[in-house]
Amino acid sequence: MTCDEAVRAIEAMLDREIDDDERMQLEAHLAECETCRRETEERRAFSDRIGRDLNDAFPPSTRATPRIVIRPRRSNWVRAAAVILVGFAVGYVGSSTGVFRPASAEAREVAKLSALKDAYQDRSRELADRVEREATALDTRAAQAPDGPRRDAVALCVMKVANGMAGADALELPPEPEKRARKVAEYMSTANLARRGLAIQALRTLPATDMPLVERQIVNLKGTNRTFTELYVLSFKSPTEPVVVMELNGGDLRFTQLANATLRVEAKTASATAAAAPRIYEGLNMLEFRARHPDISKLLDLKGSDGNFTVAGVTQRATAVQCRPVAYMPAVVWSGQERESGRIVEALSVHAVMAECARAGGTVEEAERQGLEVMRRVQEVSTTVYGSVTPDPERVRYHLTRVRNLDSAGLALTRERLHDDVAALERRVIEWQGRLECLHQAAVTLDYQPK
Amino acid sequence: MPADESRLVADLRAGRREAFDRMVELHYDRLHRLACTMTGQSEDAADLVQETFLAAMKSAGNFRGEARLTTWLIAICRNQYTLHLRGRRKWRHASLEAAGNARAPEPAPAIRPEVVQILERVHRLPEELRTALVLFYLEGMRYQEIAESMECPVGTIRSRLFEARERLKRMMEGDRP
Repeated sequence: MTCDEAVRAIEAMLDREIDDDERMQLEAHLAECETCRRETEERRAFSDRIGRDLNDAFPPSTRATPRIVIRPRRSNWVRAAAVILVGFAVGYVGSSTGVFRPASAEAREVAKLSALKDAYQDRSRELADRVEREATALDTRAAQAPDGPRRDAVALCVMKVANGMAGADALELPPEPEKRARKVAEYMSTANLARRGLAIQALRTLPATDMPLVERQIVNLKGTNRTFTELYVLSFKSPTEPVVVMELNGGDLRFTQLANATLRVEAKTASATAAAAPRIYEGLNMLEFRARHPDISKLLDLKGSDGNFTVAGVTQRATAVQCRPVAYMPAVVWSGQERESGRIVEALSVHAVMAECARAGGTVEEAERQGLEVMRRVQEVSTTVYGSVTPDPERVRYHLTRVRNLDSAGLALTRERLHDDVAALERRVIEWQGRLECLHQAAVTLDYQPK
Repeated sequence: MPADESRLVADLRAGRREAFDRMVELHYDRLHRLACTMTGQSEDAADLVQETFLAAMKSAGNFRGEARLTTWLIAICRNQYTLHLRGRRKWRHASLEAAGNARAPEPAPAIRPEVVQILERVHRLPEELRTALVLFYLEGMRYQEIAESMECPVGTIRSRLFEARERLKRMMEGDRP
């Protein structure tokens, strides 16, 4: 979309008459074009002003002062004029007795809904701006942080937000593997979150044979983009050989952790037949296993994180276990906005802090303590209140001047449409709040200092 | 068309007096606002609205109810205004006293200077642009409804609104010292 096209689309958007396709193109353009973003605000202000001034010029109370016109040259219409006169009289009496004025309860409800819609649109825009701003700031800070589990966690959180902003259009990739790897890297390296989201989704469609080419592009990336791509490539290399294998409980339980952090417990069943298959419990990594299988974890007295844990009172340290959170990637990045992200980001933060503690030589107990501590701090962020969305009384009055002339059928139709619009906007605001929350939680993890 | 309006249209076509009263009651404000922006004068606007209702009454039997009543009335109002511009309609006003009506007009409320300015500029716009603007901002109509009222495609309304705002902006910039 060119700037000229964007300007016309901006007007349609401000008039709430833009279709979804055009809106997406416009949003992509606005994300990149500072001039058009300014233009949007200027045109919004101008349009509001026209609406306000025109409505001020015709306030409801000064309208409808019908005059009686004597039209001698149309004597055959005197009868008709008399009918109108009656109409005016009805209108006047109605207005003076309050039958037709002030605005009906229905009109007030529609005006209130219109103002609520405006408020949701304002909140949505405000949150979108904040998400872009804060993601950029967090990106810069993460790029300056040392390589390590916490930087990995922040990269996954930022990319989760970017993934949610990608929209429905897919990035068109050239057929040549090298060119498509380059195009993905090019989109991945932009500051714009929606474009990075497109790159993330394109990355998922690449075959495993493209990964060496993607890996070669990593040198062209920096900050969280680089970290995320490294993690993605790593997930393809993920080694699967067993690193820790333990027989427990007289051979009834077999505990295994693979090099890619996958954890598996096989439990012999108490079946009469010796050939009965063992029951298998699996998790993507230690923390995921503990969350998914609390009973067996309690039975084994499982504590700690990947490669640094105690099981049945025995401490295990295995540096060969992959501690980078590749196992979390599907849960964190690929999950849609409808999924609750808070718990996943929380787990990612705990994982990062515990892994860092283990890397620094900390004990399992110390890692557990720090993990709990960072979880509490992240949970405090998730309870942040963003404030309710309420209609501005000024806007209610403004909309009242626009809708009070609608008849009851028109009001009912408008009310239905507004209910749908408000519900859709409410969902959008919740999505933006979720993204902002995710970034705030990532910031807490990045800044975490153990007591 | 909503059921209430279908009934009203049927009654109008049947020439029922109550239906005309109801039509005037429902649509007077809307037409008066539009007429004010067309004529630039409240008195002329009242005459234009009256001409519109008279014409509507005359042709109610031919109204097939395919469009909304509002749309139909706005189209009539625009036609009446065009006839006036071509000199085929002369509005003659009689004083309220002459009409035997004791109710004196209320003094107009004070209007902010910037509102007066924007009204003047709106009035300088060509009729197509001005009407599209007024129907959008004052009546809160959607593009589709305006297109039906002005008997043109929706895309044309989008262009007209764009053009109207551009011209207003240019006028305001031209006014700056």
